[in-house]
Amino acid sequence: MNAIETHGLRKAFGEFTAVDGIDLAVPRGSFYGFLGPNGAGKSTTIKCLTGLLKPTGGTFRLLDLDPVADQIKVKRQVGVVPEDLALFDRLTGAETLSFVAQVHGIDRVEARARSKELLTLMDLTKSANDLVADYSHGMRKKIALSAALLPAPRLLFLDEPFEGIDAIASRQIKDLLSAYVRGGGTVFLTTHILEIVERLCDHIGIIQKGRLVAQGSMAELRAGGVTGQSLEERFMDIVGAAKSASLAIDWLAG
Amino acid sequence: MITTLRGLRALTWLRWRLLKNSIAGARKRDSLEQVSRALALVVPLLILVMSIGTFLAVSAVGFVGGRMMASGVLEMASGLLVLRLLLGLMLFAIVSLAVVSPTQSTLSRYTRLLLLPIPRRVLHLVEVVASLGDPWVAVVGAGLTAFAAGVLAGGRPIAAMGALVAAGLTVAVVVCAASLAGFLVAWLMRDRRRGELFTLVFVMAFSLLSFIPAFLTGAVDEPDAGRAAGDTRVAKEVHQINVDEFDRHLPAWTHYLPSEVYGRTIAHVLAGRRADVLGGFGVLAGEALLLFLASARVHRQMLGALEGDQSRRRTTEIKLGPKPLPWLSAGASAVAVALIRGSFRTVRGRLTILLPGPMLALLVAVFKRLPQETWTADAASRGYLLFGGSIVFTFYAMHAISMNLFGSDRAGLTLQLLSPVTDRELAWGKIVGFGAVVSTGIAVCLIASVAVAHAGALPYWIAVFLGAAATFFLISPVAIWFSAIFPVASDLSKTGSGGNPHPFPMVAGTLCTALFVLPTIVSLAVAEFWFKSAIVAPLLVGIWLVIAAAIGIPLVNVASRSIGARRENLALVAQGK
Repeated sequence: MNAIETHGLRKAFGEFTAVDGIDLAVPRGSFYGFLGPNGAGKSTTIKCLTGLLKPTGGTFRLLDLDPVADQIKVKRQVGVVPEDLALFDRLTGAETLSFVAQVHGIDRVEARARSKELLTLMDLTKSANDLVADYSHGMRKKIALSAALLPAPRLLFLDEPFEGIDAIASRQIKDLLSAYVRGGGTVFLTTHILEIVERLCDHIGIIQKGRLVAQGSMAELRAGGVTGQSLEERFMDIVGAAKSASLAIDWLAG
Repeated sequence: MITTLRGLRALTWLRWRLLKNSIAGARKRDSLEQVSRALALVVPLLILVMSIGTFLAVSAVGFVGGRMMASGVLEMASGLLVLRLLLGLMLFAIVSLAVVSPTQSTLSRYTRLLLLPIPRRVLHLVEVVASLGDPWVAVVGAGLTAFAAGVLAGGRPIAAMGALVAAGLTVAVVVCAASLAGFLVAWLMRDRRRGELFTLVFVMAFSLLSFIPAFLTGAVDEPDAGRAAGDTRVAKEVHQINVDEFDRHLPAWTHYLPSEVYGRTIAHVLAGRRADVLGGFGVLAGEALLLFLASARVHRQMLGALEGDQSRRRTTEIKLGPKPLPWLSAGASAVAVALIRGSFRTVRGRLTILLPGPMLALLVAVFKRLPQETWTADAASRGYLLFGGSIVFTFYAMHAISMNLFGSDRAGLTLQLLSPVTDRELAWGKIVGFGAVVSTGIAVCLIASVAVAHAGALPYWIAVFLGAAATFFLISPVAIWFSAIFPVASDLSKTGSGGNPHPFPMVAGTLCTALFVLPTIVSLAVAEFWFKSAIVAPLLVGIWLVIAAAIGIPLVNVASRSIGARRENLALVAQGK
């Protein structure tokens, strides 16, 4: 049973095709790393899957539900940390969590307890009553992640969640997400930090120029390459990146 | 020197590209979005056309004035007085705009520039020189240059040279003064709370203090006092303007204002007093130099403050939001509360609530001091008219919120679009939130109106309130439609164009508001002049309210469908694309 299943998912902006007919299969309870170079179509794919963009073609299902017909039902079970973090500048961190709790129909006592735990975990308790407008980038990321986790979703979309977060919080979030997946949740993660993918993810999808060029478990992905090859080297092979030596720039070497 | 020139060239190119790219817009989306962008260009084009008109008119006046004064057709003292006053007013406008400008933009562009190998003094110089592109400065420069050209055409080439030098120095003083004021405020704005408080206080004080001269002037009181004494001869004398007397009454500090120094220098130029002319040039050059150095100092201070940290309140008690609002689903309630908080916590939101009522009340207070036979004083005796008028202005002022209900949330809109909230809940949440904000504005209007002019029968006051409710019901679906079709990622913490909605809904919303208040005005007039009974007014407006609610409420549900239809575009706008 797959948490995310797409068939020929396509998104075009005029003549430019950002996502070109991809077939994703993300198993339930998996930690799925969605990789690709800048501009490959990772964020556009997430926006299509979360309903922010309307796909130009193809079909998809989330948690075995039709996101178009069962829009609200799907949203109740899905948490998202999008590219722009999706936060109200003029709400405090605590009020942001309160907003999410209200729209998800979580009762006040439960919402308060969950908020406290999340704010403590993210080390945001002391800034909980400050406006998000006054938060640093890392703090904004943490509160966006807290907002995504608060309703205890069954599927979590995380678009570059670890960039700008300090090492301690990063470690805590990794542990939290691992526990979440062990508990049956599914994480769909995009990141450029391959070490994080290597450590956390059990399934990988690689997108390049809008097309899915590789997909499978970490073991399957490694099996296709040279023995002893790192994920970074395998990734470079798949996306066909030029060897760094061939790109040496004479004038830069001094 | 080469580094400075290179930096200047690079930054000039940067400004030009930013302007060009902002006009060209981003990647093409759907056709409706293209129409929306095309309409957004109409207002800047209108401003450009009007600026060119002003530019030409001021140049023509300057040229004719210069020629007439040089040839002796126009008496020098009177002509110079007009020139000094006009120039003084323009200088005031330029410096005021320079103060307002930093409240409308962010300083983030400096962060990138500071990382480049460009000396800070070059950055400062570019900023100062760039002020020459300010339309008002260009108008002043054109007017003063045309004046010098007029003097030349009047057959006084040496005097024309002097006038040209004085014009150049005056523009330099103005540019440096505007830069100093702008940098000072930009430095203040570095701290969000301090900056927003400054903007709020500045805009309110600037708006309200403009009425002070009307209160201080004794001239308007004289006829009234005379009538009270039964003396019909008062106010018959026309006081002739005497330039010497006017100058004697000016405080000493005004002699150093650039407009005054320029006026004196031109007088010396036309009279051929060379030593005094050089003295005038010296004062203007000295002022320009002092202001330039001061602005450089403040500019350094401002750049140094860019990377400063903001003070934060430390707390251990977590304050969550309130309970859901009654009669609303939890989702709609959360949306409404977010809108209310956003409006109450932003400069633009606060101004729309606090400003229209007191502004109009002060205007009426000025009217009340005018002679009794004027229509203004007659209108001021009907307090409910003031109440109604200020409500209309409140609706207009709130277009920043109501005509951009989704775009003004910016990234917050993405959160709402990702939340399990239906389009109908989103629409009703927005409308209820807007209702709460507009109600607060109406309450402020009521307090201000009662304080200034509480006259008028109570039923009329009630009728005005019911009329406001009717207008709200009808403007609500319009607000949803316009906000969904013409969204703009606006920032309500900015008082200028950065906080404005799309120009089309702003204009169309103004017309709609005028149309929707019309039945209330007609009902009030019918009650007063036809039925001659105050009690009829709330009855008639009450009927209108029921009709408006019967039309408006179902239309909000219909309008909410436009959110679904424009969801993708709204999501892209929320991301600033």
